[in-house]
Amino acid sequence: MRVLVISDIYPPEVIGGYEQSCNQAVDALRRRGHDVRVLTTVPQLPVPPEDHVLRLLRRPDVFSTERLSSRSQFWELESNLLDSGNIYALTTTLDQFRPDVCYLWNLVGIGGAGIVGALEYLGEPWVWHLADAVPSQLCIFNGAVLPIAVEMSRRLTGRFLAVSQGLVNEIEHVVDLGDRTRIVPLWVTDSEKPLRRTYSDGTFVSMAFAGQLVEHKGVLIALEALSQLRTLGYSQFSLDLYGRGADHMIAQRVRQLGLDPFVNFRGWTPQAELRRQLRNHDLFLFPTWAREPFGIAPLEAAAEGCVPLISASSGIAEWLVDDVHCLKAARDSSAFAAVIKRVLDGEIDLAAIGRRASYLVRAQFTLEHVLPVIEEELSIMATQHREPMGSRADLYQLAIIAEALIRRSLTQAA
Amino acid sequence: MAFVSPTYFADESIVGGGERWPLNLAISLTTPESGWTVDFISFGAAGRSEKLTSQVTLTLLETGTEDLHIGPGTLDGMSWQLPTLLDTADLVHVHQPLTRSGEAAILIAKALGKPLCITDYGGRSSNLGASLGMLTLADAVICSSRFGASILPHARRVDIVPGGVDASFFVPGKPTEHRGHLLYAGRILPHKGVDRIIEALPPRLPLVVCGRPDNEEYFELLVELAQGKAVEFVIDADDVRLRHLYQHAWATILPSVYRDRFGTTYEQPELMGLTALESMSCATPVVVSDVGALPEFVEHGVTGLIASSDEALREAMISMCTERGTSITMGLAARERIVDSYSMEVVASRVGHIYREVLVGYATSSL
Repeated sequence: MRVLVISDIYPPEVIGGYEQSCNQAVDALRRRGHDVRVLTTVPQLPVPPEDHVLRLLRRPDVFSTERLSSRSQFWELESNLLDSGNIYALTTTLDQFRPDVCYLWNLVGIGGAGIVGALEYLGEPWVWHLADAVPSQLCIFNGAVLPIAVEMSRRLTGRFLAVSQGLVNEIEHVVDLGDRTRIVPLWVTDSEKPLRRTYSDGTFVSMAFAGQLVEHKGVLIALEALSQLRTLGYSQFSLDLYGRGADHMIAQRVRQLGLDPFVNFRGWTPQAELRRQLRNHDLFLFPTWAREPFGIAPLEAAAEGCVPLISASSGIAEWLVDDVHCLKAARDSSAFAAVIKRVLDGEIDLAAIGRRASYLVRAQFTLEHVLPVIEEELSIMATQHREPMGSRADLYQLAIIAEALIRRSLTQAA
Repeated sequence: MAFVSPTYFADESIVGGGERWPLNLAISLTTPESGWTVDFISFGAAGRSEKLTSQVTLTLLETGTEDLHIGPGTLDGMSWQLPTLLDTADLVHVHQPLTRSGEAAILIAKALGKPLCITDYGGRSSNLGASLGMLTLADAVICSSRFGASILPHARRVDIVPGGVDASFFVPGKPTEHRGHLLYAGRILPHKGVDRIIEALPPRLPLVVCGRPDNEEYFELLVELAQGKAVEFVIDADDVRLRHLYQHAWATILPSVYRDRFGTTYEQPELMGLTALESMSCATPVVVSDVGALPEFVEHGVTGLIASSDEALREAMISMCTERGTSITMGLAARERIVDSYSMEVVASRVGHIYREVLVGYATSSL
């Protein structure tokens, strides 16, 4: 198949796991013999050229914290709704590459609603890999859901691969995905052979947290859980924090809770190194927010035999069974403290859970396992080219007019 | 069919030719034989739907006043409901395309892949679409005059379908009925040149000025100019009253200008002049200025007179009152011209033919 992948950002630049997974899927499809082109945004810094990666799309400066703090309506317009320049780049690429199917990933930042609308207009079939609530996010403008965007979304004809039912539910508060959605997990890569490792017998529990050190990822919940355990008299534990974020605020909280002897700041750690470090930890704390669509980090921990303790409302909780492949807790410090207490009391057989989790993840949460599903969905859509509603020139003209009309209306409204 | 127009023919919107023409077209197109229905979509302070005939529905959409700061009654009404309504149409006809409403409607119609026709009546509130070549997106631009076609930006296909008056309603009075005044009919606005009529009017010659005074300053000026002359202002006439006024007039005078007495210039003052056709349909000849499309519908000396100057206007007005036989002959010729060429039945037939061609073109291209 000739597959045109569209992604906001593409490695070596990444924001998170969404882009990395896209990169891994592209490489896997190419290894399977598919002709794949990636249409993505111009890089912020020079990157090595790759023949199959077309860095042509414009995007607002998503890496600029100053820009992020002063988001304007025009920023939202270009980011979510429409960037006519990107429509031009898309039509040019379609003309030159003539794909059988388009494979969409994160479209926030490139006028994603317009990209999807353009594919619909041109009758180009597509599959959208959803690892975040992108379709609903693209319908939001100026803090409110745009009725016209929702209306247009009802006409979508492509198919969706979503990483969790929770994600689908969240999106469907705004956009009806219909019966064209298949739930398929993300994956871990580079897992080495089955582990031989030892686990805590309860005398000392080594815990890890990895990710952004920000509130919505639950780092404060983890700290408060440890504080509660200290209050109960437990002290045979440690927590290593891997990642960056609101470090000063987190450090202050550690001091306030009297946890300095128990918490270590490990900073940003390369992925491979982090995976190695996880083998030395017993528990991986993942008290993330409810709308976490999936959660690759606990999956990677599980692959390394580190038992994930996850918030029961996160996307990954749909895929792992409590007390079998992981430990689950409600997303609050007391619930997390209660589970950790059971571990410290030796009531939980960490070794059994860790081995089962490691086996499960290495067997089923792999790209080799998921790739046939991706190929199947792409194949289904590849046969479903439709008559375009108009020419590519018409489409570009429509995009220019729509963008100008929205800009003019916004200016006048202001 | 879905018609989209920023305004509609009603007191709470605008009573003008640009509103009457699409309404008449909708009614004339939707004969039982055609099987067509028209959803006439416009905008207002509150949304509502009303059956105008068994096959024509008026749908008013509440404008997005809060988020778009756009009030009802303007040429800029927009609504998020528009995509839903247009999606069910086989063809979309946008009236007044060079307005914000028109631009949005064109955009949505084409984004939905709908066959699109547009007609301009001179309403202007935005040059954005035109400057970006928006009219080239239309499958057909239907103009009611050669003048109207000449002032439009580039388009793919332009069809001139002149006329469009309800000749079954605007009919001649009884031949024996008395005619006793000159008439102006239309919106009372500076570019309509009503002041020229009053200034040229001999003191005892009766003149009826019939129309909505949409410009207060101008209306006050006209009242002042009319002091000491036999001028009656009728500002609330319905169609029956208007027809009566046509039927009993010696002639209808339409002296529109490119530059009004306040110095304002109008590049597109009259794209058709519907009241001229209504008058002719009532067998009442017209005196028109050589402005816009007005001369296209009047054969000088046969169906009316074309006056190119103030002096010519004055002479024409007097001759219409004094040479009664000539004016009656012109009126009958005018009526014949309307029935043969400019009635809404003729126009609807031609527009229907254009619709069919556009629809066939779409069906063919999607095979």
